[in-house]
Amino acid sequence: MADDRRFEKIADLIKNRCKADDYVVEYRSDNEALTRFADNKITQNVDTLKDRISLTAYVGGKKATVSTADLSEESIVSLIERCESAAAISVVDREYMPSLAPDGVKAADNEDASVTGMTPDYRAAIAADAIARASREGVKVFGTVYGSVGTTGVYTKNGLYRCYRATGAGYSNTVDLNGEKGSSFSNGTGFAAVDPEGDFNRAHGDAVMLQNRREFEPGRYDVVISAQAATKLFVWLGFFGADRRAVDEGYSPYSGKMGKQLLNSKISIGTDPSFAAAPSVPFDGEGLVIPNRDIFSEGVLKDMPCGRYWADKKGYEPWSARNVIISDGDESDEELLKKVKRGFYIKDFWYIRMVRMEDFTLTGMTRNGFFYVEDGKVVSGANHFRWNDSPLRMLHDLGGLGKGTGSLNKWYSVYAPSLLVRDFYLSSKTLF
Amino acid sequence: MKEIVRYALDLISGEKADYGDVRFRRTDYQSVMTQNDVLKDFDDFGESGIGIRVLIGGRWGFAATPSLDRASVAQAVRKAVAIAKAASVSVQDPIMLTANSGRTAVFRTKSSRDPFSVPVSEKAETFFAVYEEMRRFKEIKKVTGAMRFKKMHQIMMSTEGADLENEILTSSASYTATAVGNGDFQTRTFAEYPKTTGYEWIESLPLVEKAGKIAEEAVMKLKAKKGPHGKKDLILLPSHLALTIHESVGHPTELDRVLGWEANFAGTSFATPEKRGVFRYGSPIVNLVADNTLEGGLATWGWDDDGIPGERWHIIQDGILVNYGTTRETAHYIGDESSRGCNRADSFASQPINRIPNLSLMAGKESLSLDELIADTEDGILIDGMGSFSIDQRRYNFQFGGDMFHEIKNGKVTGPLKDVIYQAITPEFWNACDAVCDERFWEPYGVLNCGKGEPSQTQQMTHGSAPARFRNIDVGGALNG
Repeated sequence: MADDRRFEKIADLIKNRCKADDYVVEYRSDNEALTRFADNKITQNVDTLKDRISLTAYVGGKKATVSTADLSEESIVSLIERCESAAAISVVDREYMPSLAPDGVKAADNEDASVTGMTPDYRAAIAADAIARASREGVKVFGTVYGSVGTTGVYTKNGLYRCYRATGAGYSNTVDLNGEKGSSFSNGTGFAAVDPEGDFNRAHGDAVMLQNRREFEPGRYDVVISAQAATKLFVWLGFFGADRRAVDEGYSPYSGKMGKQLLNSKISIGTDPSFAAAPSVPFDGEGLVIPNRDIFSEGVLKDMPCGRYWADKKGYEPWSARNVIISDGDESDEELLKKVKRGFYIKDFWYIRMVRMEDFTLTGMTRNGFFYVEDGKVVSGANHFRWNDSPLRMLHDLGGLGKGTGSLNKWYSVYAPSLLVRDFYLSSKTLF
Repeated sequence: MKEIVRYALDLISGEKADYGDVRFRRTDYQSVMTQNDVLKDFDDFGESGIGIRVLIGGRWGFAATPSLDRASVAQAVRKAVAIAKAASVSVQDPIMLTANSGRTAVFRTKSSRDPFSVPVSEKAETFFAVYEEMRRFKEIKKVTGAMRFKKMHQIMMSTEGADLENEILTSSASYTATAVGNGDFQTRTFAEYPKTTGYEWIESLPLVEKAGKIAEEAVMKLKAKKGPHGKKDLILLPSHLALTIHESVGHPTELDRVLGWEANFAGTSFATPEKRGVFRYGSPIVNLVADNTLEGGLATWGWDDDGIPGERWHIIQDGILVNYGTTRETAHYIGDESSRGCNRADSFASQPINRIPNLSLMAGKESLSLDELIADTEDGILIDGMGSFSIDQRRYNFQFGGDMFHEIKNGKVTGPLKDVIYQAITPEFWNACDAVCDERFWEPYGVLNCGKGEPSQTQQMTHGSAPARFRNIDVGGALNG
């Protein structure tokens, strides 16, 4: 049975059986198939299906959520009984908001037949091609090729029903030549967006360029960050402090800054579920439609996602975000590099984490393609660095804005541009 | 349940696989999340299913199904076989497994009170009592509480005769206070270590008793001096050192990473096989021991998902790198004839991968208390709890924060600090260890959310230690560029 039909059936069952004062049903189904290769051999090969139904019930104002991966009728009936019982002995939810009612908005699926029809042989052939290419070039290749089909649904006691089905496909690889590594990835809703040969060639090209590597000392440098690397950096803007209540109560990096110009005026940042290069589920866990909306508009902190309880209490409009879309420019990476007198070209980041939330200082490492730039040209590879800096400062002290690229994943997709950042802080060296 | 597992195994045997195993796993999760006096989330989730792993022609095929009827299981077996056969287009370096003897056994976590039978109201009320203690501090704006429980029941059978059953129960509780004021906001967390045991562990924790102190320290951080910049001696408490051990010793000694298999994602390792037995990883007092038999340990499962029983072995002995965490498919690459039992999956639907075992810094052999260690330190910082963490892809350069920092001057704790970050190169750091408190001060902290693999998996393991001192470590440079 198709996922959406299965969810409809479950919603009907809950509608007929559940006696709770109010409830919200959430559904998630993920079919993921992935082939992984390393050191020129296939090391892992999986095809898995995971389902989950969650019922959040309110009884006398008390709340409980019970979830199951077993979608049989018997299991759902048991789920309803257990959830009602759990809610009855739970505690009152002081921030309860009634479940949403129908609003006439229909969610459009984002499905691609190249993924739904994918076979293990298709993935194995892509992996085998990469391995053959690596053998011909005398290098080692490590990577993955995958396809996924996911369905998300919400149903409420007040009659709201939404269901959304989306596919994802991707390829990523790292190429190792004499211990120097380059990497590249491509992904999208279907395999048309996937470019294994291009990704191999880009990664291989970087590994070749890194054979000539020089040592540099820590300090502040102008850097060009590639769009692929930028997607790994700016996904963090979606994770921390982007919540109106945190802003109002004083524990967000954005507290006291609403309405202020924090970024370069070329930068707008927001969410847009229908953005083709980095789409997201079009509704949140309560079924509320996610709008196409800016958080930063032309550098000004204009709006902030807000939960329904806080919105109701403070008179805001409730909304949430599920992807990060950053406005891009029209400069190529080569044009951005021309503006660098002495600095670096960063093509990959690794292990980014929050250091100091007050000013959004992050830390991370450079990884794989990392090059020294002098007088506008890439001169050599460079030793890797740890960096500490704030993406808010980077987007403020912007030296140039390039074209964007998307990175799709089921948690938080990102569209980000390449960019020239002034005085990026490379704080310490590592040993390679 | 054993019947359907045997059915799947019989189907694999009919496919002439070189090896195959079938894991039925049911996992129940429960989380209780509060904010101030509001129950934000109470979620009780159960999943079960069967994972099929076959090795044909030197290639793995893995498929899983949540449906336990014969037709669905047969389909999963066919899918796993088809995947393995498809992958055999790549013929280089076939997957090989070290030896294992089939065995029949049962392992269960010791516990006296099942956390899943404790009413949610009892759990939430504990955090509401914490909030009541904290709300007298006007600077405390948010108190978030979290209790998490996991119960895993697994039946695993293999074509080599394994017939293993284990039931693992994990319990944890923590809360965080956020203070706002003085143009700043700061957090402080109560986080006693998680254990594989029952609700009796939660009942033994001083959750409410320590609430006032935790709130006081969060407020104290608002007015604390900023951390210094320069070389300092660090005294790291077990609550902090667990994460440093995890990142700078645990991951670099996972053999799949050492072999380069994680080069495209989680990274590789500097601790390469030619260094085994000769590389000075740390000072002579540094002994890091893997122990998947540790009572209450988060990776104490009886056996791993290859069916290898838990064991205890040195990874760093008297400062020298002597061993790795291995699996049946990686161990032979370093000449070992058997696996150390580090192959674990996070779900029935995940293929097991090489994971960190319980890995701990052994207590010092000489009598030494924390007070004595502080008294012996002229210019240092005491760090409690976990904070920011990051390490490079070969596990050399790392940077850590913490949760609470105290300045030490001339053998005395002189006051709180905030914004303390330290940075080091792994072997330099462990060679700078000149004192470890004795076993009276040893505590088994650990992590519940270690991410690795593609598709990403989450795993848990214990990292115990006693307070330890590290000389002349770079502090503060990260925030003073």
